[in-house]
Amino acid sequence: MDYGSPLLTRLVRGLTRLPGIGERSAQRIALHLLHAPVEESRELGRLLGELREKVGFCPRCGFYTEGGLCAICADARRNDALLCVVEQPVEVLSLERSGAYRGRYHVLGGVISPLDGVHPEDLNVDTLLRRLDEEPVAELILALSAGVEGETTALYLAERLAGRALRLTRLARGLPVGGSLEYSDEATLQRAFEGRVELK
Amino acid sequence: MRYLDLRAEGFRNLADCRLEFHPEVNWITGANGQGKTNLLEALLYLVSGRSHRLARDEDLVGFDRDHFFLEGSLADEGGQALRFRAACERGGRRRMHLDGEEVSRLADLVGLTGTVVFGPDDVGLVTREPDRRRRFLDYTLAKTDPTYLRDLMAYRRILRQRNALLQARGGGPHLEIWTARLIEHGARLVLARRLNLRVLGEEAARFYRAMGGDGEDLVLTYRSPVQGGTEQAVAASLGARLESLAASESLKKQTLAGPHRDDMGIDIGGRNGRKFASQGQKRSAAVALKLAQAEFLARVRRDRPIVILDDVFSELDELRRERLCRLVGRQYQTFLATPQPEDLNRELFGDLRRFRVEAGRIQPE
Repeated sequence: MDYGSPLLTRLVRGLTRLPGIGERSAQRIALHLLHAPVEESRELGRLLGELREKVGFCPRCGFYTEGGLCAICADARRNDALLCVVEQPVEVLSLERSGAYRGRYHVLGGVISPLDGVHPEDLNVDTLLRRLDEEPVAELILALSAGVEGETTALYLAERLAGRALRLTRLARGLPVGGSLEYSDEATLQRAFEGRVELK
Repeated sequence: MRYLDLRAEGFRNLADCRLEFHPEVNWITGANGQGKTNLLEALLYLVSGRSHRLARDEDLVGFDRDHFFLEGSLADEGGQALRFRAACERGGRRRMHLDGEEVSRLADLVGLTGTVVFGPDDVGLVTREPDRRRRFLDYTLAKTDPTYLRDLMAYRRILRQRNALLQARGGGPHLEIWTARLIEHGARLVLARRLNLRVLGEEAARFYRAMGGDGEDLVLTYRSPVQGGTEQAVAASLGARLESLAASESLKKQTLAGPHRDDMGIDIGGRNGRKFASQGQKRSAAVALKLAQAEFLARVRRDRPIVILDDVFSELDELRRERLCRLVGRQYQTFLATPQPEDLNRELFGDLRRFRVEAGRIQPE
């Protein structure tokens, strides 16, 4: 597609490389920037330029930070006794949005998957063990995905943590909130049964 | 379940048609290449979304057509009618409808009407590699037991991961974890196969006897070096087996024990049927296995399967042919295709409807 300007064409093409953006959306974004007040695209350009320079990963937990400890690690009101292990930083965002958790996090950086060339030493396991030595953690919560790799990684961590005075838990599996039994698949129902809880 | 009628447009080489079927026996004749199998394929596809020739949806669209359309009514045991519709445009996505509602999960269809297809190639179930028999068992059990399906999916994934690890490093410290997980799911698969094979085997033996004529018995066994009658015992046995194979595994870089290496033994008259049986015996055994599978699935569904026999008579002797016809014709709605009209003695059936297929045109008699 020729937009009458090589620059515009290149911008549209560049935008289509972004996740979830097709040619139509890319065109809308590019034309919007062209017609909106110039400050809007200047500000966006400045942010994009600084993004990779300033944003890095927290040396303690692996979440996003602009240098030094991330906001969560630096927050003194957080519960030090709870540590939640997630695969990627994006999962911290999901859990934070839920507001259900006020402990601290540890980003593993993935799950064990030899098919993808990911082995235990490629994950942030050693830093996790060091944290458990140094921090007053009473409960380690594994919030890994429910697939074969997530479960295997959980098993691996459980083995590495054997012998520690630590409560090891993982997130419950089962019915979605507001979900009806009728529309749940068999595996989910089975898990929901296995994970049933006492009504107090 | 039985077919009442079928409307087909643009499907393979078939001329557009509307057919009404006999409740018991539908006999399709025509020389090779005229479209007999295409009609049988349409019947299977409409109720299951799959083709027994494993064709892609696109291949089903007629040569000079831009889409195909299939519609048919079926009646279940209670006489309740179900209306199926399947359509696909060339290069497009196929859409399946049941009683006017779009079917999004194919699994919902497969569970609804048991349809068993037996083609010339199916004798491979007896004669070919163990892989065919494992898939046969897995399909049968996964369709009737969601727990089995879950274990099977997990097992396959774990197996790939474990093999990848053996490939990359020949083992290593975290092989143990994959081994533990392999054993956990593998033991359940072995146990379920072994238990269900008893039921399936009895059924198959009954069909073989009814069809046989040689007075010999068909016996199905589960062949595995892994022993044990409980989950714990099977797990212990599989674990010991894997341990003894550890050196070979790191050498060959693959997992050498588990349900993916097991086999279903098919013995006829006390001998390994794969090696010692006659062509007729092998073919009868394969038919018996497929019918047993259909019965097994039907038991869960509480409805009778539809039986499709595509050119299976060629290698059966007169007696077996006759017995097979009597066996299926009475119990199920049957569609059978033969290239030669003299392949079938229609006296065997009280009543039937015959369809002649020539160059894609289907003429009811």
